[in-house]
Amino acid sequence: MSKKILVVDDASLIRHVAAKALKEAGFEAVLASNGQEGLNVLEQHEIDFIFSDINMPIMSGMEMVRRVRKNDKYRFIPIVMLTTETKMELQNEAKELGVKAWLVKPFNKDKFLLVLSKILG
Amino acid sequence: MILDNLTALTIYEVETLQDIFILALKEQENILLDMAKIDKIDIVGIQLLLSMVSTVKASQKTIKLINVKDTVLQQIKISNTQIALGLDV
Amino acid sequence: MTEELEIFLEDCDDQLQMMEDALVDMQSNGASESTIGTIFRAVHTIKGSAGMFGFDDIVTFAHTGENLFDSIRQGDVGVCEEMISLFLLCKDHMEVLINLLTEDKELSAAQKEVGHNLIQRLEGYLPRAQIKEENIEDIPSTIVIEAAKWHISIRFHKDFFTTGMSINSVFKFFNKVGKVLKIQPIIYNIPSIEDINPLHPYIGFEVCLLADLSKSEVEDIFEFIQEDVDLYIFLCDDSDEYNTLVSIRKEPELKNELINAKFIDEDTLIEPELIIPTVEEKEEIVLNQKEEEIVLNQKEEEIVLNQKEEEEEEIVLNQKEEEEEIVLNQKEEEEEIVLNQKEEEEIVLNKKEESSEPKKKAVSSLRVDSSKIDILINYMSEISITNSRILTLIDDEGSEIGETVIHMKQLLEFVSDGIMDMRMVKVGDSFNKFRRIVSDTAKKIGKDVDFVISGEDTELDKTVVERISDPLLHMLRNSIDHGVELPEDRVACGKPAQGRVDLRAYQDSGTIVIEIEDNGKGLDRDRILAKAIENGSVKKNNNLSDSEIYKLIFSAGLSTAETVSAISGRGVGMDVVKRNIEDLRGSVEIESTIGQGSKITIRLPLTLAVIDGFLLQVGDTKYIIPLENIKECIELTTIEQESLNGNEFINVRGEVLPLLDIRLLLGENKSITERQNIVIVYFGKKIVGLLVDELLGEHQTVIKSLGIVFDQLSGISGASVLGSGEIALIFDVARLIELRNEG
Repeated sequence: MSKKILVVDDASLIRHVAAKALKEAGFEAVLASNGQEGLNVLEQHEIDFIFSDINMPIMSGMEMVRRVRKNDKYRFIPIVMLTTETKMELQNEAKELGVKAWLVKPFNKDKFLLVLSKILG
Repeated sequence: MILDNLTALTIYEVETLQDIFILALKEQENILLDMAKIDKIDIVGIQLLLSMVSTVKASQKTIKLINVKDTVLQQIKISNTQIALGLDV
Repeated sequence: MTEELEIFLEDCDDQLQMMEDALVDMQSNGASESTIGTIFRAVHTIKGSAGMFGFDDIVTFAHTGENLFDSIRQGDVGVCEEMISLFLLCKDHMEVLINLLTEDKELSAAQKEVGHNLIQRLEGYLPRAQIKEENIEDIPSTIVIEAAKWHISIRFHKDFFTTGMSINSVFKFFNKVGKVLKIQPIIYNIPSIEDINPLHPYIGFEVCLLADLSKSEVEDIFEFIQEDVDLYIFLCDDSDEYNTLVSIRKEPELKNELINAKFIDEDTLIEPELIIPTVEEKEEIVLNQKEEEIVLNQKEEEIVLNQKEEEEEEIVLNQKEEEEEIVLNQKEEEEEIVLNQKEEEEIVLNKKEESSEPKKKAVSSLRVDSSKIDILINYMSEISITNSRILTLIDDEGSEIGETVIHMKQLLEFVSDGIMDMRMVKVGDSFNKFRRIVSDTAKKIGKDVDFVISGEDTELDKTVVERISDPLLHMLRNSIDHGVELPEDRVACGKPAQGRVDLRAYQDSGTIVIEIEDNGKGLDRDRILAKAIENGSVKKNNNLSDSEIYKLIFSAGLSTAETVSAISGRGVGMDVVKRNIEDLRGSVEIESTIGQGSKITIRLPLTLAVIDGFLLQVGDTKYIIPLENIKECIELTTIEQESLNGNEFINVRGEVLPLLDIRLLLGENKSITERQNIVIVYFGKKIVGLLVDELLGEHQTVIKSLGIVFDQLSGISGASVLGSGEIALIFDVARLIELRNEG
């Protein structure tokens, strides 16, 4: 049973690259373009792992994480934030929500795959 | 005892499971833990099992895990905890 | 064309346009922080996006540009007009590369050539070190990392489980990068089912991993969980590290666990009690080592010193301060007090049971940040100065108040001696660390070396010990690499196959002497000389003595090793070594006999902060000579003075000594006093007579650095404030002797 990974990013370029890399590595990729869509996906799929951007329209990544951590059904899902800049305040806020892994954009496919194998084995 | 309602033994279940275990410890002398329905385990679940096993042993009772599925056993073996859990492998 | 590619191309267009605007602005208005920033970001963004598509041509090209602009941003490289035109060309080339993508065409040979040329021109502006670093990055295949057996000790912080991250994934990843030889779950910390908080991690792991990875690469595996894991990683074959591990984990069961799981033999593990002095962190000073240090806490083998965990927290807290700690062990009977210099003091009281055997004694220790001692030393010197000032103000030492002040002075000396003593450490700990490196080094190059350490108990100022450590290591490596011959060569010369390297420390007239002696092939006088003539540091027709020639190995850029090995350097080492030693007010000398070996002798002052000095006057200025350097003082009669006039030597009881006229050297005015004196000073084996005016007597001197402004002042090592408030300059005798010999 392959693991299901949710990728939340409003930039189609990122989603494209991530999806391609995930498929190549034998994972199932589920894509969402903002936090709200991400939450919808979580309701419908059993997700093993989330990659999420922060700045997105409709619902930000941070807000999505907050809601994920409040939901008993999936509050312990591992999450990696995708980000362009490493702002300390954002990181600290995320840390309190139990998100401590960051992946700085832009990244290439290889880096992405390496991250996946470090986190998912 | 059969873990009836559970199919997984992960971080989502450990709090419930702790209560079940404490109750079992009070009521039973020798505990047989039937894992037939469990098909998912993680390190948090393993740690709880380890706690249970050592608590039972300390109170001069016995505990045995039976019908452990292969997928579960695999996870246990990754952390090399099978011996501490008393699994014959 | 895909939607993504379209986005990428549009973005590139924008970035290139911004870049061009900024460059044009730069041409007319000069470079500003904002234009440099704009260009850097543009190049960076293009590189990043291109990387996601795997457009390697663009990435490589942009990468070089990005590096250069980063150097410019950091201020390492200045911007010139040529560079701006070069960058405009680069921008054009990037445009070409991107347009090719749109048309889905390959790069033509001519275009490749253009790109290659541009990269070379860009690199021409890069600081050297950076190109080197890049090259290493570019050719990783040539760097072979030997497969190493790493021990990885893992414990978790309480949030680890709730972040959802999985340690099993890490274990799986281990098997991707290498081979897991052993995983031992550490389960004795897991509470009973009634007491456990199932969401908190109590479990830990000891892992042995065989992988072609460096330590930082191993650490990197934990990149995404590093916040919540507590790691201790070391090479499995280092048994010392296992002792450290046992002591930092503070888990009484760990020792047996490691033995049972066969990570180590029982013999390798020292009893935790004895670990303290040997495995002490480099940052720590252990005092009172003369006394047997037995920490016996009856039932528990808990080590309260070495609280690595706390230390780490502490370091985080005091990041600005030096990360040094001092452990003071005081012998007291009843309690063991550990004071941690963080926001909270932690006091552990272990009441000694009355029934315990008389042999057992608890050592009370106090851990203090060493910067606090430095502050104390500084204040001590201020107090001493103030006290001396009072004495001069009273002007009547016989009065009651005068006597009190004199008594006070004595007490102050006791206190400052005591404080200074806290800084002293035995060199043994530091020396013993060399053992492994020496044996590794020897093994690596196929040499058989008996490494003998003596004088471990010699005490030296902690700062000196720390700062001398690297130079010593470098010289030891040199001895093994260049000194000791290969076993077969040794046998061929009729020597025993095993070479010998001695590391000695002892005290000698107020200085500490450290010697490194090997019985190898000795220095090749002719080759050193040839090399020095070749690189122009010595003239062809010279009258250099042997020892002067040997000293040349301490000058920059001189390495006579025929093959430059990875062990000892490319002639960039020994000059740095010499400078480091001189910075500590020490000196270094070398003796050598061809075929029999060489000996390097390092002399160091006992301590850096206070010296016993001899106060004297030349012209209008007061000077201090460290007492340890003074051989004798000679008062000159007027007649002698005249006969001496202009002479460069003086005859003292039949011995001819070189003479140095301080007044001439430092441009002092002619003195008011008629009489002149000669102070004969020595450093190591060299002796010089200093011609000075008035001798004023002994003086305890607290050295104050003169700061960068006076750094150039040759022959002066610092200054001291006298009781009167006057400033006296302290002579750097080693340098003075050199000055005299240089003429």
